[in-house]
Amino acid sequence: MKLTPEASAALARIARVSGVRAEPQALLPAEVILELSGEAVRSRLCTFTDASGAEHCLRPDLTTPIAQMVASGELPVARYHGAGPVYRLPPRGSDEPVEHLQIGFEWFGNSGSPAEDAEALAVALEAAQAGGVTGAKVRFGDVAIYHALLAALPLSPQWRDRLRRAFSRRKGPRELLAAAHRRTDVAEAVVRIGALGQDDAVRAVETEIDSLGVEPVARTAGEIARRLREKATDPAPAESVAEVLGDYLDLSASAGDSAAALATFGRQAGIDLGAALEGFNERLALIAKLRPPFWNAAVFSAEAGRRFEYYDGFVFDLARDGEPDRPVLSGGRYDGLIARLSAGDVETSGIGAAIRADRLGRGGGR
Amino acid sequence: MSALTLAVPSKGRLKEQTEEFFRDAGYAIVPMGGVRGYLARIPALPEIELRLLSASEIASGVIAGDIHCGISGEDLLREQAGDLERVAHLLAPLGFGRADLVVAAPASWLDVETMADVDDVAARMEVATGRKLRVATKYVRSTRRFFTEEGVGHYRIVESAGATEGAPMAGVADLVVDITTTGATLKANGLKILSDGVILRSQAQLVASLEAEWTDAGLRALKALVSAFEQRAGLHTTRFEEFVAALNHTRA
Repeated sequence: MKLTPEASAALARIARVSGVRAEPQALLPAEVILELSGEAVRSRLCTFTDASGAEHCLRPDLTTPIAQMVASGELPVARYHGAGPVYRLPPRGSDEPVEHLQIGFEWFGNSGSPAEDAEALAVALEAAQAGGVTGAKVRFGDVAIYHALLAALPLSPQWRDRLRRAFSRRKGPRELLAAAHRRTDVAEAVVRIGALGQDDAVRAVETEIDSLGVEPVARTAGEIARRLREKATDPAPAESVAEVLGDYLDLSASAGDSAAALATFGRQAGIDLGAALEGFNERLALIAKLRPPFWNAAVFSAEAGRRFEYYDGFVFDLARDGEPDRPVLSGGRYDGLIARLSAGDVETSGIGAAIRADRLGRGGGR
Repeated sequence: MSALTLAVPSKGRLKEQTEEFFRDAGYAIVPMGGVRGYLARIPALPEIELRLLSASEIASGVIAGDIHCGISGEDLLREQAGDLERVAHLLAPLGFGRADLVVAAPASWLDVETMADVDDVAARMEVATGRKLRVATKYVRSTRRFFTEEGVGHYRIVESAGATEGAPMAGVADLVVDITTTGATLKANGLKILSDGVILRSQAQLVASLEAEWTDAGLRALKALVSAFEQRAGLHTTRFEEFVAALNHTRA
């Protein structure tokens, strides 16, 4: 795909500080994307099956294949930029093209400081400006604050995990908590076996499976006994906890007011957001010094970043007024991604942003 | 295309029940015979062109608009159309061909009763073994939609060609999503239905396409058919008017 003058200008701004250009493959094993993002994304993936039954897909973004190359050791931990076509099936009734041009950067291995967050945001916004974007608004958030909030709330470890997972799902934290409060029945086996010590519980599980006349499948009696015991001591979070989480997710404020809004929230909820809030404030101060374009009207939203599973810190996007669901650019921190892709072999921080070249310029492709 | 093409199941129990239903409504289905074995007619309703197809072909034909209306299972219709309401209209549940599309887990998983349990176990399995929970099914779209609504991630679909219920025992999947009438086959394969794992209570439906080319004559013939079903087969539906309204909306 040929770069338009707008796209070239945006890429030039990015390339200046983003190392060498990565040239990832267009074709990936579907496995890689599905393992990372789950079946929910499959309806948007261009997939096909070869003669042996193996499934392949066209890359839905540049982040995943570049991250994959770093995770596999094919590329060293460093800064990269990229430009090229990516492929996503449009939802029914949408006139979006399947193929569009993406420009972006992925920076690995800078230990993930607030200074790097600020620089990444500024580079992305300056690139959008160089690409002719006007009349657009920044929305930003910080998934690390959500995680800090979960750590500070009185929750069982299981509920902490569940609420963490729910952040990026359509059935989000609010829906999950509402459903938990509707449900009161607990199965007899949970009560009976859950009250036993582990050894007795394992024996009880084995007896129970025997009496059902079935064979154990995929999971051992030990695993099942352990989880039954956990379930027996895993009360649904208190109503007050659900309220605090709901209040947090409702938070929205201008960039200038966001630090105060979070501080007020923490005080009222009686929660110390600790290092996460300090990082947030430090980042804001650093961004203000860089004076990036579009930042004056930026809005903090606690729910920003909910659409992407791998973001775990600072997140941002830029969208034209009136088109919040068609961002020109989106980006964020994904410090856990490489460790996940490499099964722990490679550990490095990561932050990146992607610009949709077809939404650059004044018209945004419409 | 004739004024009204109606596709009915060409084989199995669904064929017998459809013929029985038409007989109760006072209509005999007469196959054309010979090389045109896929065509049939109802002598009392000569304006309708009858086609004999598999239930799955009927679903895809109605969704694509190749046929005006047909009789097929709601499970097949919802599986084949991403968003059924946009392309077709369920005119009347016919009271036969009942089957539930359900999520079933190994009965030995004593700790798993609900979809929330599935998500917990799946997340744990991924952390412990690095692999996702596998779900065997022929109903790929319905499964994906339901798991998303229920907030379950960390799973992979294993598309099954046949005998889905045997997949966990064979070691190729952990859960299954399949249709069941009594649950006996699932039980015989060491599986249990989750308490909130009923995706759809399906039955045979008279379904009309919003994608097909409709003429006034075609709509009149369909209305006559629906009225006959209402009067003679004791079927209650007000959905014909809704269909016409939806059709006008689609055309506008």
